[in-house]
Amino acid sequence: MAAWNLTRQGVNVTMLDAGRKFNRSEFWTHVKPWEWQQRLDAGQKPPPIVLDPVEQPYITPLGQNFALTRVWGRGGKTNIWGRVSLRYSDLDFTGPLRDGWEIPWPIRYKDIEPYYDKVDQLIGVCGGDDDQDSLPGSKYFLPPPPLRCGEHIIKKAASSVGIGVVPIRRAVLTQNHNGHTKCHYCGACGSGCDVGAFFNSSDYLIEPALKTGRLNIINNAVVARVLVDERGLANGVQYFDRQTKEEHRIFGRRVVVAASCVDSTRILLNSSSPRFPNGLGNSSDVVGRYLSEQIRVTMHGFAPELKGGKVYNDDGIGGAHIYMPRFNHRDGRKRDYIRGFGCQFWYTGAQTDLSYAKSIPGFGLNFKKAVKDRYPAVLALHPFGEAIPKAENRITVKGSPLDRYGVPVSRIAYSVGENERRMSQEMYDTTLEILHAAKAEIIPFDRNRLEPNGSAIHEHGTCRMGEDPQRSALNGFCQMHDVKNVFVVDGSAFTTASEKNPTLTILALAWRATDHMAGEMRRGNV
Amino acid sequence: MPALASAQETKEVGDQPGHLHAGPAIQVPAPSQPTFFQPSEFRVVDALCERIIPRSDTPGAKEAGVALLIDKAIVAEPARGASYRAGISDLNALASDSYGKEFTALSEEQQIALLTPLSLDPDSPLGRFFALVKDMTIDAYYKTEAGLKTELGWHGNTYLASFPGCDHPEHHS
Repeated sequence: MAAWNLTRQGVNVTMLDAGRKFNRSEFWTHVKPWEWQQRLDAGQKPPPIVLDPVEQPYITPLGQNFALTRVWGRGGKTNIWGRVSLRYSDLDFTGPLRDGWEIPWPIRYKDIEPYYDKVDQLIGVCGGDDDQDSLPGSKYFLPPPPLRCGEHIIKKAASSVGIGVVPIRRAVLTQNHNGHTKCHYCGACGSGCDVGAFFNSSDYLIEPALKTGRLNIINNAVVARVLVDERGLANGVQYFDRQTKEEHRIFGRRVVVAASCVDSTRILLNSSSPRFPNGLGNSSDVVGRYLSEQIRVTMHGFAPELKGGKVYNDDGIGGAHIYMPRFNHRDGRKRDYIRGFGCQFWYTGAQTDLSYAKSIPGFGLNFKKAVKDRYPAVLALHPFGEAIPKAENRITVKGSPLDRYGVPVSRIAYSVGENERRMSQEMYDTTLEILHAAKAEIIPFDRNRLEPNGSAIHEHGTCRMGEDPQRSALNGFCQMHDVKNVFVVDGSAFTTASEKNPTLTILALAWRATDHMAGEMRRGNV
Repeated sequence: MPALASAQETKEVGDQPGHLHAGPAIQVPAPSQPTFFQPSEFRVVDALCERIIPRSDTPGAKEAGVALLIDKAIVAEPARGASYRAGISDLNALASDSYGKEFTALSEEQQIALLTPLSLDPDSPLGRFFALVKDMTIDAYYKTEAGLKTELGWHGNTYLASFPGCDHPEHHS
């Protein structure tokens, strides 16, 4: 987003990409589950989109795993992202003001609303007409996809107990949009889209930026450190060639860091110098701290009216077509936790994941029939809750092993606490209320179970923005308090995680930040 | 280098808006020999998987090649191998104690009678083994064309001009 917005405003940009372009024609999009195995048997491999931790390790304390997913290559994780595009609201931006936990955001909804509007128009987001306090609407949504049977049943059941369920907002094209082709409902988005029918930075931002003639991309450039001059301003970066491991330096007058939360943080922390002994822009000692994502739980049930019925092609736009916005702030009842949760409903209907079969007892012909009868009837409920930012949840590099380029790797120490445990109980209660209202058969579950840390793939907070330079690293324009010509425009800039998926907000914040940066350049301030 | 040039061209077309399916899978004959299992072990696993998901009016685990897929899964994750080796041996011992024959020599009814208590006792060593084989049979069978398409009726991952969604008015709110 930064490269796109700067080049179109006349700024020359060199982009250092830790990988290369992933060509759509290489994606294993139209490969059926059994063909996947046949291809592997024949020695073929899908494109290596997800970074192999053997190539680039990270470490965690013993017994404290963090399931980090990284993509090094053009467009990064947007090649395979979940595409859920929910606007943050003032409930999110001011949460810390209401409950006193950590610092509030330095911006409000009115500051970012025009950028959400512009992002929606640029990338194409489908959604419904259901603006509400916890989930601001948009005038620019593409039509939402029709619901699957199970989703109608969930919506009706939730509504009968006073829980609102709306069409989800996703950056999937349900109509042709800005020269991009609409979705063809093959549901294989997680392998990359072979026609670019959902937003990805590579096709939607970087290709147009290249057309300006002002973007120069260096592929396989693994950035290690931001370099500073004697005035304490950034003047370039040190990087290593991913293939030859050769060291290079490149110089420039401003640096935008957007390597995704964990890698951006690693770069900043490794950029220590006599002037910045604690890492670049880290006089506040917040860089690396306050790592947060969402806690998630998973519940499955079977809708009685769908059991033994017709099997539909339920692929749709791949993943949920409905969403339950946060509501726990509305009834006035005091909770034993702070912040909130929403619910997604991924993998409702006839999907390729049959793990529910493992919870059906027995074996043989009766078992086989029980699995088949339930196949079209699967209801999947998947609440996301905010994990609050805590100083001890942090990324560090001091004392870490060195990677193949001789640069310290990230050490990620992250755990969830009492607030998340308590919130998860209401997350379970809510899913049970909906499933009971649907008269669903419920798969046995353990209500202490949370999905593994890191598996939300939504890392935030380790270079957070705020008003107070003592307690934050960036101002509201993602500009470093300590180093005015460095901007950090990914999830690390977030002050809180919220219950929502971050990409839409990353795009809006990056657009706003680089508008500010281009203005400051014109005024001669950076 | 004409071959390279034409490969490049294909890529360019694929990166234009419009629909281009990925090329077909290379067709290779499925390997018929297990790598991890000894032939006698393989026969036990093959029979056990077939008891878990038997043939009905659709193929069962044997026809779907589940035991070979489990063999591949063990090769990919060798830590599971020891449980299989011990489990197969214990299952044969139990079959000998009960019927004086190895598991594969039992009739279908005898195999079912032998496995039923194991399926109800997931805490015993053989019960744990049964649960492991059942989980891996599920993972493998329902990813095969026989399991996912023929048995369950899945017909996704295909080009659709539009997504119709649910057509039951009674499901709608």
